[in-house]
Amino acid sequence: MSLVPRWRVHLKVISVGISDALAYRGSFLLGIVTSLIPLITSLLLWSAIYRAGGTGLVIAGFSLNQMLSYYLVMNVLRLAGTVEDAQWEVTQQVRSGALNNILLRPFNYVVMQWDLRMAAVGVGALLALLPAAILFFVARSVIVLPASGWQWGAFAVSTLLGIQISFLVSICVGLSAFWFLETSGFLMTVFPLQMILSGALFPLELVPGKLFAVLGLLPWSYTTYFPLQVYLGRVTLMQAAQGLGMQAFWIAALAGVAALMWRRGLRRYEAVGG
Amino acid sequence: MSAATKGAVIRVTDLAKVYRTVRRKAGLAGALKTLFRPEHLEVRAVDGITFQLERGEFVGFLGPNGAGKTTTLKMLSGLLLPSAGSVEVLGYDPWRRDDDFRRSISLVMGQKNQLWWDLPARDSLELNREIYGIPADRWTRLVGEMTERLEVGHRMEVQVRELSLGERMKFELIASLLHEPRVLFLDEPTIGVDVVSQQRIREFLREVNRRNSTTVLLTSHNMNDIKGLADRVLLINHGKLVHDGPLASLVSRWSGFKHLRLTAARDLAREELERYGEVLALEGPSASLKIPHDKAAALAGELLARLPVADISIEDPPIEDVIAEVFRELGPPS
Repeated sequence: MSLVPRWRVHLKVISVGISDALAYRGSFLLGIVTSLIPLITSLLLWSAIYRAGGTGLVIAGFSLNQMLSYYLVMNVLRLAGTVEDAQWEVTQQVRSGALNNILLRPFNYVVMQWDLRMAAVGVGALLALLPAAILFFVARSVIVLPASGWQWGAFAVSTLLGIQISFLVSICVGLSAFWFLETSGFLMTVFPLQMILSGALFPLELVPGKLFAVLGLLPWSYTTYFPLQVYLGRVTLMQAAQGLGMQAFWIAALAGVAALMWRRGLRRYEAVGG
Repeated sequence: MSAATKGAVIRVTDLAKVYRTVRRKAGLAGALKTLFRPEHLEVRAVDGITFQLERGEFVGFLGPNGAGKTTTLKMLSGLLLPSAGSVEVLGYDPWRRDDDFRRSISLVMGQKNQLWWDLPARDSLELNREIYGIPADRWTRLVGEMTERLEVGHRMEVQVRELSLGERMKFELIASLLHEPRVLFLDEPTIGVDVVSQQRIREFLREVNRRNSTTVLLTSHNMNDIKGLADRVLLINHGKLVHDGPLASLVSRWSGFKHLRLTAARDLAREELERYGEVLALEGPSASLKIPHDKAAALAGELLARLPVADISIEDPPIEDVIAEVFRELGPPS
């Protein structure tokens, strides 16, 4: 029985996840439209700021085109859907007792969440392809592209690793529901904070130097901010390698924290409902 | 005795579960007090119960709301860590949730579903095929058989959200039985389901139990489920086991009364009947009385002597009434 190849389970969970994600394609497309509003606002605002400062202005090391590209690329990445959804879902499943059905079956819950998130991101990336192409075409005069092959490669790898960090953070935040059953308020507070820490609202260089140094050590800056730095060519090969190392470190550390929270949490779990 | 003990599929010994919750106080002052100096409240949901189930037994698990039924089922299926005592199911410690253990049991909760809401039921059944590693041909055969028995074969491709409550429950059962569990825990499997589907589900469960010698522990507030299925009944109240035996012995042990029906040659008056027992029904010459168990024979003799009786019968009260009586007597959970 246990000799059943596990990859078949993953494939099935992923395919069910894809079907499920496709069931929500309507809300996904709506999400694309609404995400354009803050993007356009940011682009207009920064254009106005740079124009007021005169040509050649550099803010926190960013030229106008770099700044605009930062927002454009970040939004394209976020268009593909976000693994942060895991924190809402985990919380909800712990609180409602829906976790029971998964615990009863011979399959690892966190692994299942991972399969489902990756399926959703895959579907999201595919659906985002066309809007992203349109966005890039419209903005072709300002968009900055990575200058060399290694930058493209490091950007791709760091983006994938960033997704893993984001996933693991979300799992940890979600699992905190084992201790604080009333987490919706907590999540509402934490989510915008996570957005800021990850650089999804503005480049982290804009915060004061000491704080910036601290943020650079936290896992969030390696989810979005770091891959973008690589993309914009703002890090050397050496710095990129160090950053990738930090990403690997955070993945290992967060996986450990998640595993510990899972074990401890289950002992407290009251298997609500039913 | 020791041979029987060896054959036990489920062995529960002095099992207890204590929930620790924070006592919430009303009002703003109370809320602040709770915040700074929380007072913990211990609730003994299950308070030292002991029982065993043999292979192939179909056992009903009864008790008022909050008596500890669901908590017990959750400890038996590995969802909850017991506070004290021991549980053994098929020789496993459920809490360890070994994959082999999880492949051998199922827990179906009437109010919780494992089916994917936005997808057809087929997807959930296929997902379970992979999770439990069920060979494709066996899966096809089992799904074919079960959907036919439960008359839902034509609903396989419909989004679960669009199924009726009864159909959804039937697919829940199919999804939970695909891996042919040796032990099945059912928590209110017919809740909210229409009468025809209830009947179908009961026949199906009976068949599963008989054919595969599946050991079943069932909780239900629906007495038809218990009457139609359970060979033996466990009654739990305030976390303690108060009865373990056949349903019939529950009636004789707990019910202190019988129902006496009589028809007379003339219309009867309430006043002349009240001295014998509580008048449950009175219509013209026919009446139904609730009389004490131990005085039944004497009262019947008296009635025959004093009234022009055409027909008389003494019966055990309906099981629903007995259970209701028992629960009333035991009182609400404290």
